[in-house]
Amino acid sequence: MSALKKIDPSTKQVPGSSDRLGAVLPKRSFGRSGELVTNLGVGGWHIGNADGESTAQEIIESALEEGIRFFDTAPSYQDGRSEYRYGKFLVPNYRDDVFLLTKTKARTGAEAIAEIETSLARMKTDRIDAVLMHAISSNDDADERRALEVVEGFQKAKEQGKVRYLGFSGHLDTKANLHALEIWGEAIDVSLCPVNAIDPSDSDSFITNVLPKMVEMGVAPLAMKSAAYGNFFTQAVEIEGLDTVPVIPGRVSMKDAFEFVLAQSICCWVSGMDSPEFVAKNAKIAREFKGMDKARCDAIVAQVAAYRDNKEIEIYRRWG
Amino acid sequence: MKLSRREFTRSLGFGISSMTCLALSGCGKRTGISENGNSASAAFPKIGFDGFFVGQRGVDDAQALIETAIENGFHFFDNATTYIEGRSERRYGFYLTPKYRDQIFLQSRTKSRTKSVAQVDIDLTLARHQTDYLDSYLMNSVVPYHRDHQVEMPDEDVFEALIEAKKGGKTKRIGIRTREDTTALQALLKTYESEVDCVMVPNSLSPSDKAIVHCKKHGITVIGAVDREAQPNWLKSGPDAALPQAHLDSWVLSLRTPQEVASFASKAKGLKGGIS
Repeated sequence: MSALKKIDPSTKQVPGSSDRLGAVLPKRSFGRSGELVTNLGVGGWHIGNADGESTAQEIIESALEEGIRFFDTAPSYQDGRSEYRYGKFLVPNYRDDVFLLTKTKARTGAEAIAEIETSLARMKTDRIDAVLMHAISSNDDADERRALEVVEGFQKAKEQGKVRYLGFSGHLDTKANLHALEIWGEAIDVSLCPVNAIDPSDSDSFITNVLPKMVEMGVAPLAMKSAAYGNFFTQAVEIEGLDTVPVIPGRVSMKDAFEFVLAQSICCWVSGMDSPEFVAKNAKIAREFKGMDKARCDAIVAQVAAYRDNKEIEIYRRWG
Repeated sequence: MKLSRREFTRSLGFGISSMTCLALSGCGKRTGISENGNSASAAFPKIGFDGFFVGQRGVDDAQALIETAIENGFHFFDNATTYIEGRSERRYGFYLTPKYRDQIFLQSRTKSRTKSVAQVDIDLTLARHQTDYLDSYLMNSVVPYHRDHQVEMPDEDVFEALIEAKKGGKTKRIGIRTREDTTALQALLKTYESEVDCVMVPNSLSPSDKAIVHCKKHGITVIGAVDREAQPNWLKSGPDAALPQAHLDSWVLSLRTPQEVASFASKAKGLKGGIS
């Protein structure tokens, strides 16, 4: 707990440190556990999606060089390719240096137990730091996974030392995330949800509706969709009365958009990064983050408020 | 080793005729197995049902597809671990196996790249299907991904995990799925020929392809897999076009709706053997 005392209240971070691999990014508290994780994490979908193994390896190694120690993935990414690549390029040399998170779409406890075994085998490790129930989409979806005892399956894996933390991800409907937090309560250690500059203006905002509840419960809040699956960079959506430009850099800079994410009550900004250059840019933002006051946050939100409730940009709100 | 396959087939039996046989006297006394080594194909169901759309469609449609397939005589149900991120397997587990496990021939497939993954991936498939055995389990000789052009090669020893699974009673048969280029399959057949019960090939693969010639020579069942994109066209052209060509022992059809299932089944009624 001594580490907690060093947390700077303006950034909610412990300043950057170093380990056997070199300089490490600032760290934040992983919910009520008190464990610390780097404020930036690698999103695994882009590791599996990278064109060729050497590119995937370069992204992983550049992330480590830049001080990232948090790695996300899921067995369903590219039919397992993301996990296999961690098994080839991350785990063999760096397992003890990083926090490793995967997910499962299991609908029964038996399936969850079995799928965790496949994740362990693909990544060539004997333990995973956190496993999330992947993409809870509705109250019914959460209720179904609960009735068929997915969490009980998780807990067996936890008792065997194969998993340390349990949680869920959800990017469709804040009601589903809140329902999941409610029905599973203290069984949930961690949750991954969308956090970006448009979200507070949406009629169904994860930042407004879900993040405070997670903080209250001591659930480690992980941020995803910080650029809406890259659509902030690529989708120039037509909005009445505005120039047709992409959100980044048309409305806000990359730095502003991502500092806004770091300014929220999150412990790790999980970002999909498709090149070592992208890793370096994000890591610089994470390393140099000095906090952002409410007025600045509000100004950034106002800059992109016209894009609210637009599923061409926030495409993850379509993915059931 | 061929003997072992014959013995295995003898003890298993399958298809409608062998189901009857099971009811009357047990399949251990099945006779008439040819001496040319072609025994595995004799017991393999002729027409299979593709599980892809069971995962891809809404849950009500999925149940209707399964029930219509059963009503119309399908009993060979094919699947793959990666279809719709596992949803196809889960839905067989929720809507097919609880009611019909003892009446069906259940096949699934893994995209494992390493032996250690294949050793546990079958347990995941069994858990999703809510059963303790498969009738047939296949590995991919090369691993493609439908959303891009990257193709991966499994390690050379992945098939050994399937051999272990069969010995452990988790699956009755084991085999290999290939794409148009059969180079990797040919290499695997060379190493594991005596252990391979079946191969699954694109139905467009030439009868003179080296892998098919090898399988015919050694009595390995050849299952055709229909190209899902092309299928709607040939479904219209009548039942003959939907039946396995001479070089295929079995054929998995991709029927997208209960209407397509019923339509195909009514056309197949007039054919020798129907859906068997």
